[in-house]
Amino acid sequence: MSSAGQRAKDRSPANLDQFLAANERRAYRICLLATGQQADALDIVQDAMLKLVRHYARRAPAEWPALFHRIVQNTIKDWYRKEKVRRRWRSWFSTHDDDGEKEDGLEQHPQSGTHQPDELTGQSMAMEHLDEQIRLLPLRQQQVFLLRQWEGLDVAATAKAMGISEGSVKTHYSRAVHKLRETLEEHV
Amino acid sequence: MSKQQDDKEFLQQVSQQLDESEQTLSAEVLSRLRQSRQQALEQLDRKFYQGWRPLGAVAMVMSVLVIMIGLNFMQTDMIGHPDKLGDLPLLTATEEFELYDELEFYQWLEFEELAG
Repeated sequence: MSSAGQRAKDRSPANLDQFLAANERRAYRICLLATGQQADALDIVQDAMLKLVRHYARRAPAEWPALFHRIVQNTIKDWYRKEKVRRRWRSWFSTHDDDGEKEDGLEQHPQSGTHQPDELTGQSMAMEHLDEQIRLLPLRQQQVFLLRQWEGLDVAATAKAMGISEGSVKTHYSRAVHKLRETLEEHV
Repeated sequence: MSKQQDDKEFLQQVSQQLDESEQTLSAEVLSRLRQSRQQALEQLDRKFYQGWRPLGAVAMVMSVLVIMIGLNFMQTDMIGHPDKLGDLPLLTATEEFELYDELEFYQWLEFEELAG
């Protein structure tokens, strides 16, 4: 087969389907840890899949993982900004000043989400605790940690996916590991 | 044990737990993920047809132009030669062409004979 033919075969819908199927669960878990909400996490993954297929289906399959990570991260960031605005509106309209939320950005804690009952079935206490502690990390630390440690991206790839400098990646990663070690050591 | 090795072990355990968590997703979540994937991939088919759309539009415009030019041409032709078929006997006639040249003279002669 010619190289052009091979390239076309590589970019076939079947290959794209395979790529998405292999990455959707992890992407969902990453989004769930970022948002704390099952519905939002599913929406983000769906959005990311739609964007990848719409804009990058014709790119070489070797580029798909980096592009998908980038899209997921951008969509999480968008969600976070919208969520911040929603929270601000909610706090304005609420009758009582609930928790004195900080006017923070991505460096601060994301909103701690609620567990779906069925989501927890079968999960060990340790896993639940790990989820909770990762979720409590500031969003950037959390995402850097997941991309570096779980997805296995190197510093440069993580920086590219998140749109931050390599120096920031190193700092966030080191802080995340330090915090998680402090809180999880006896549970893991 | 060195701190680095300690870290490595701890992180391996964390990754392992995260891997396990990926395998314990509910059926509802898995179904939604599958639907999202299918929905995303459906765009590829739509995109294929959308890719042909401009070509279809160009072909349509060209056809309309050809039809319009053709109609316009036929109309002009009809005005220039209102009775194109009327020339047919002339072209297929076996008589001498002089007869047709002097047709008016024969018509006048006939008229004179009738009047006379």
